Amino acid sequence: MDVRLTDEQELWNETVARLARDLAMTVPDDDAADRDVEAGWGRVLGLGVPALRSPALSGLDHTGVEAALAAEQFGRHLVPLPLVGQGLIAAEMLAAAGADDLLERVAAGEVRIAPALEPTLARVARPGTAAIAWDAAAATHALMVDDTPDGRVLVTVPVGSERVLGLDITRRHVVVPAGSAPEDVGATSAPIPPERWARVEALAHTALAADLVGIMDGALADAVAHVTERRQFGVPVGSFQAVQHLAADCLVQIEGARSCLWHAAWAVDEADVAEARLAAHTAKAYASRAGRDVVEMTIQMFGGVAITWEYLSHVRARRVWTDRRVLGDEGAHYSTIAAARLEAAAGAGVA
Amino acid sequence: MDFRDSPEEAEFRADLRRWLETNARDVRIPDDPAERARAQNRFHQRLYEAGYIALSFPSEYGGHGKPPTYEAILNEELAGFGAPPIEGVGHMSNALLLFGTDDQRRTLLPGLLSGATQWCQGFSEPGAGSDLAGLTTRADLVQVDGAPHFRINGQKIWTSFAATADMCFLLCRTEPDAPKHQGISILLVPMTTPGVEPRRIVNAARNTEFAEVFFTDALVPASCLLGQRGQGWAIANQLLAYERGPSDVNFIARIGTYLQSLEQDLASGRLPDDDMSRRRVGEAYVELRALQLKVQRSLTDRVHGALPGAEGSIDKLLLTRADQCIGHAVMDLRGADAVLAEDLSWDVYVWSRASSIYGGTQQIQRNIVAQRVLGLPRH
Repeated sequence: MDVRLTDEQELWNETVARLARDLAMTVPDDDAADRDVEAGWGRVLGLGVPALRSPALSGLDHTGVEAALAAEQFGRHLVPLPLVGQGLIAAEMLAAAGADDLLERVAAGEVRIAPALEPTLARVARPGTAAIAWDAAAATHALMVDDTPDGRVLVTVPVGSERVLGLDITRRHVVVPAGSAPEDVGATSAPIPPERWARVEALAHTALAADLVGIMDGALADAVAHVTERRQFGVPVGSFQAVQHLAADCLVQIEGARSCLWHAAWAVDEADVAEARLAAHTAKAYASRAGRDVVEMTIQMFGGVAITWEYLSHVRARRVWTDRRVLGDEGAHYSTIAAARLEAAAGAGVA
Repeated sequence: MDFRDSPEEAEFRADLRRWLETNARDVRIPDDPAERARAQNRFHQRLYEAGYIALSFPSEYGGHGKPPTYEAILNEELAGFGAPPIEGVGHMSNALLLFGTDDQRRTLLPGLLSGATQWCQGFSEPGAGSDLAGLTTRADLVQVDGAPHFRINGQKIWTSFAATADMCFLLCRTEPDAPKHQGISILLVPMTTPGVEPRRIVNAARNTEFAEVFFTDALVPASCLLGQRGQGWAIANQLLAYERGPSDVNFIARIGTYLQSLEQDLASGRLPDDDMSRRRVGEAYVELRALQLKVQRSLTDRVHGALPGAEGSIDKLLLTRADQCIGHAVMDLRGADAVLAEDLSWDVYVWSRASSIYGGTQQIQRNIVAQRVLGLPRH
């Protein structure tokens, strides 16, 4: 057991952090998600991200931790680029299907593929149904999943032109109308076996948990800086215990979330499937609950300015509420975790 | 990053599982508090004899010289097995190891670690709770029969197990003229010393493990001093930092055991299994895992040489979250049964409320995190 980032992981983290700082949303900006993707996506590709999860393309095995670190840094800096949706979740689905040729074109920026989610945002959509292409800035296609007797088969459909003006101004979503005809761009490779699909889901939950951890961490850093500067009664408001306790509670929950996240990111590739799934549900559940609580507490630390358009607090709240909903909030994951644990308990009782 | 056991860790874990399967399958947690304390001590001694206590402690003092991460494995396995709670001795033993003379270590550590000698911690006073450094229990250096002694006068409170303890780890004021933090020392006091009188306190779950301790002209040899005169505050802080690293006090295993028991009751139909109940045990599981995984990170840091410091308060605050989450779940999921009878559920609940008070309140811990970890200004 050695629960630290390796030197290579530290280096990767610094590299991603530098890029994320460069690409950060620093003032609320409704147009950034469309505008920045033109110049910014090339820099994300330069990082090697969509190819990261394919050992054949990246030359790397076991990249769950690297994927999580990238998502965390992009969340921390509110980067308005589709790293989580296109760069990690859709790319992971393609890697799982062995669609390396297509993934190579995605990595070159020739094709841009976003995951298609059910309108509830709770899971990946099936072909023929109405869907939302999530995190779909500049996407050309959306990725759906058909559940066949041989496993999950990927289906690509072209994205339409009807935009969804969601809360999260750092991301774009596009409607995929019911009955959209598939367009084969090379994704329909071998079916993904159930165990591999479980790891796809685990990676997706982990990436969202990482985005949430990053958002929380950025929110607390900004709020701590604010209460150190802001003076009332002749002293910094951060010297009052009522304010300090909010900040401390934020850090406790961030460290709790980060601990679950690291385990999930490691387990995606290294643990057996049952442990990987449980770790990912745990990380997504903890980060979903803590994400809302921490952002709300930092809003309180900022005071009135947090309710204005010009401060970033609402951008974080928008992204947190969206991340919570995508692939299930804590309530959904608590139920799933309990189902797995009770099944094990019932088994133990019989034995 | 590697959460996996090394081959040695995996072998240790497998052996421990086998041992638990053979030796702890039928150990029940008694409802009666006094019996429970005895059962806890017996189980601790059996674990000690089997070689599972003081894992990361140096072998010359009765430990096993393993890396601190083995303590996490022990906690995980006890929690996963639903084993009875064991004695929390890690924090006091670390303080003795760090600050004791060689003689003190050799004579006192084996009994403390094995559970053969029971210790209590004389810290809080009626007038010194969160303001611990304001303590007024006095120990004056006097000559008795030509030998230096400390004469102790004062009162301690919330001293767990004082009525049954053999030894007291006592925080007292030896330098009344020094500034308040610099006048404190630690004495290791036999509870049989004349003038030391524990009086039980009945807690909210009718448990009598708490006590007050009155010191009236109690005389102990000066060799009972731990460390230097005036060093008590530094030692106490080090000890509290270990106590706040919950791995050292076995609370994680306790929470895991209660969670397992709830899960089994849902799975077997003893409790109604509906989605609301499932969400509550799922939530408790997640809070517990966050604590366990954070402690694994802290222990990894300890393997690489870091002494526990202010960051330990983060672990303690995560412990409080997990404990109070399970406390509510136990009361709610047991429904009417939890209020039409007084049993272990109530005891679990009462202790979960204590968890934001003992070892430094939640508010003190948050002060520490805000000021010493986040660097916010003091008022």
